[in-house]
Amino acid sequence: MKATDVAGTALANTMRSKLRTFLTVVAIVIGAFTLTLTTGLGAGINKYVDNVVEGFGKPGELTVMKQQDMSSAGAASGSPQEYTEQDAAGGEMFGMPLLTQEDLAAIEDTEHVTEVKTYRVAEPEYIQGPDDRKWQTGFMGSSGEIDMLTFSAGRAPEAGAAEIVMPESWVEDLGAGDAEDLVGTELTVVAATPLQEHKSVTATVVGVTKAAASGAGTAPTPSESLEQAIYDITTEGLPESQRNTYFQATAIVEDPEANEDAVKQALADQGLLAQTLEEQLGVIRGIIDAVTWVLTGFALIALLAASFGIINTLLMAVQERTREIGLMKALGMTGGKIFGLFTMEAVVIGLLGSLVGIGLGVAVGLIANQVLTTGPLSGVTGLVLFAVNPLALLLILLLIVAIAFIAGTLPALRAARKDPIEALRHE
Amino acid sequence: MSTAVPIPAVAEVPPGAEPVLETENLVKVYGRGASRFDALKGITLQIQRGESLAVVGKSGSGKSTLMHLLALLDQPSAGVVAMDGRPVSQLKAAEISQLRNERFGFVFQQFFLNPNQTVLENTVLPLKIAGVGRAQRTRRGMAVLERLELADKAKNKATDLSGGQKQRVCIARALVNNPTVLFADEPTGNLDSATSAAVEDILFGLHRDEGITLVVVTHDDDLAAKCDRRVELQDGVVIADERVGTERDGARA
Repeated sequence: MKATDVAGTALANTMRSKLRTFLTVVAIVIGAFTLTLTTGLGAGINKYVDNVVEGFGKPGELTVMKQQDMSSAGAASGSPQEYTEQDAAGGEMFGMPLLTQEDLAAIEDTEHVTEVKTYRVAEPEYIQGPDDRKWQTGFMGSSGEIDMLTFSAGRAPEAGAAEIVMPESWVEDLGAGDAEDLVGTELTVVAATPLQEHKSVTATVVGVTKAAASGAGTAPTPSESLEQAIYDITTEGLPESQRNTYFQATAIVEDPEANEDAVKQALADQGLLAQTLEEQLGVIRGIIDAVTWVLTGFALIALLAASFGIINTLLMAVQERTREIGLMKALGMTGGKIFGLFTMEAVVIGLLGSLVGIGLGVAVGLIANQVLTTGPLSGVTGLVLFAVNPLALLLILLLIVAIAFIAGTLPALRAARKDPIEALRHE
Repeated sequence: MSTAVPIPAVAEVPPGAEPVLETENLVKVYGRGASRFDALKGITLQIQRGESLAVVGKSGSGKSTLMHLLALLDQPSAGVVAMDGRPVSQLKAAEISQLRNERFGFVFQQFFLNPNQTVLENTVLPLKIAGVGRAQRTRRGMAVLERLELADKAKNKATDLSGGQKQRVCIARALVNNPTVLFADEPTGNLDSATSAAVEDILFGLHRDEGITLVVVTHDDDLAAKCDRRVELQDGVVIADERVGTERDGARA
């Protein structure tokens, strides 16, 4: 029998007991659907992470932070830690120790480091618009992000001037008709000293920023000198060592492929943690992948259950068609071809189930992505919950067909081994 | 019955004939120990090309077992089946399958038609198994249906036919690969007498007009009488082998 005839006959045979085939296919559809959704979710979130870091990741950039030794991080749960002047010197932000001038000097002095960019986060109390209304300002963008901003109006703030750029979402509340209107407005930025004394700085709005998935442009971003002015207020009266601190720094490494590891090692010796962007994202990716794998595990269990459905269906078919199998063997069909006929039937069921399941999964994933990202989750800029990865879909298809084939081998072997005489006598 | 098994005289071989199938001391045993059953106890037989042979005997005489061994559907416990002078019992399963597919045609008492398929699809099953392309299958299938006056039923489902028509489809299926030997196992067992006669006419017409070798297993004496030669089995041995119409008696038990 020709391969095309085997396939055609197998397809026709699956249609002989439509309800039974349908029910078996449904079980596979559920598995395929779940697999499609979970892999799509993983791909989507990873794509979102990619969007977030777009523009950040120039090769050779190392993000440097103060190393957080586990003894100080774990102090809450364990035995008391001995106090040292040095630990407390830099202060901390979000529970992370800050970089001191000393640390910066160490980074700059490290061999192969060509440039160091610093980031600090200014924390004013509020910003007052021209109509004297006050708006809470939890966070500001870092002046180090300025070159990542995109503008819907105006321009980037200049380092030496007391300038600020505002996100689009502030335009209306500050009493401006549109983005262009806001440019040129004078704002009062008010910050508190460590003794909670409010002091203000006046800043000119020079631009309006578009929100990017990376988070840049979603908060007011000051120029370098404005940032310094606010920072001076919030650290007023503190010891000098705590005033000139930074949240993190970026070290640019020359010829990163050759020198990156050496720089990392040198910084680690200084008690500084240097990470490439890939390493930082590795953690997030690891978590997403773990979640995806757990969900994928459930889908695989569903497919395992479905494979028993295939075995059951085909065993019934073999039993029903005993005489037909006997006739085909009597007429010269080899056991191998009979085996092929029944495994092909399993493959047809697997193909049907996976095509429908994958189709449904993609449709539901895309619709849910659209509904959620424009609806309840619209606040998360650039969020992608579901992405279509054709290669992954192809792999799912192949996996399910392979599972179906393996499930089909047991009934197919039974059919192939039938004795034609016995089979023809079968009632 | 005498205690010694009589050795029947073998029917005279027509001059110039060559055996298409022959067996030598064919033995078939089912089961073992207390449940051991000797279905065939040493059958030596030659079937000439173009011959029509009736294998007759009571139930349990071994006639069906003999046919299964001749048709290479089963392996003998001992002895040899040879086709065209070449022993075939020891061939590989795939080679035996191919021999059956290319050289034999089968007509069964039960029709074994696939109810989901059309008459034409049922007819061309041996060609499909042989790997013949669709176009040629249809052409050869239609040709044989034409010969059996079933061409107008080609597109009908096999279940829509009468008993006689079904058996004609089976004959068509048996003939579609132009077999050397046509095996018929109780071909009229499920048919009324009028239909039986029609089916018999077809079978013997093929034998007469096309020289096809016909091996018929039956307990119907009328059908057996239409064959050139009649081999009677009892308890796994040949008790009569006579050429009908030659007036020559075989030895009787």
